[in-house]
Amino acid sequence: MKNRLRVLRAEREWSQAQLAERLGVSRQTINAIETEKYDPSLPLAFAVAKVFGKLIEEVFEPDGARS
Amino acid sequence: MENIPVGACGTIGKRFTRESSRDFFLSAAGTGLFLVAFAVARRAGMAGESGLAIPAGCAAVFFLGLAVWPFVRMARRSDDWALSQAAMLAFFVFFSLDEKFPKGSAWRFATVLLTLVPAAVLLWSLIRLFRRADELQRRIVYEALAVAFVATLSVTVTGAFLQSAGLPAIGWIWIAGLLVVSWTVGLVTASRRYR
Repeated sequence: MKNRLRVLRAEREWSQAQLAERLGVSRQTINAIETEKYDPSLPLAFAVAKVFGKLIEEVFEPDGARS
Repeated sequence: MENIPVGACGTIGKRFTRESSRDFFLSAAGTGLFLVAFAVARRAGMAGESGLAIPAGCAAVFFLGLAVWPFVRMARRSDDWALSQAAMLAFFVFFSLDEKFPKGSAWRFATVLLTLVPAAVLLWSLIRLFRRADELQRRIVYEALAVAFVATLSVTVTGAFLQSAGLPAIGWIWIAGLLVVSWTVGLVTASRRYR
């Protein structure tokens, strides 16, 4: 699953550790999501979207989705 | 939330704060001094020298207290990683004690049963550590446990067949060793995949 986590984080000038702290997860988890090695659970994906003030589909995009 | 050290190869040292290290080494020193005092008390007791056995026994109890006190501090701080490492060290130390007594003696049973205490602390600290883990860390631990389960099962079943075919028997303790090694390998490989 593709995501805009790195871009959104850069816009706010947050480090991975700062975002991890806001979400209550480890920095390793943020890094794994950003590098698309790990797809977050639905509750975590909603939490990520909420932290950035976006809708979930504005942050995450399934593979092969039409643009 | 911090990384689970066991799930992230290379971050082990980071979880050990100065306070963790101090408690760990204090516990290790207390355990070492306990072993020395215990050995002196045992030899003096066996030789019938109560003049030396009693103070050495008292010293052994004191050093045991010194070894246990850091555990209480670590548990209060919820410093579960350091607690699990100290418990593992204590487990192996107490485990090594049982051969100091003749087979069948009450002291030998007592020392073997004593190993259950650090084992229980180890289990408790690991459960607390994993309950605080996030979803990715739990997945890493789960994958590592699956690797350890299959590896240990395959090797023990193969070993059993080889033994029935005439290979000399090996001790049960090696199964525990194999479990720990395969779990560690599983943690390192699963952790690297998500790095």
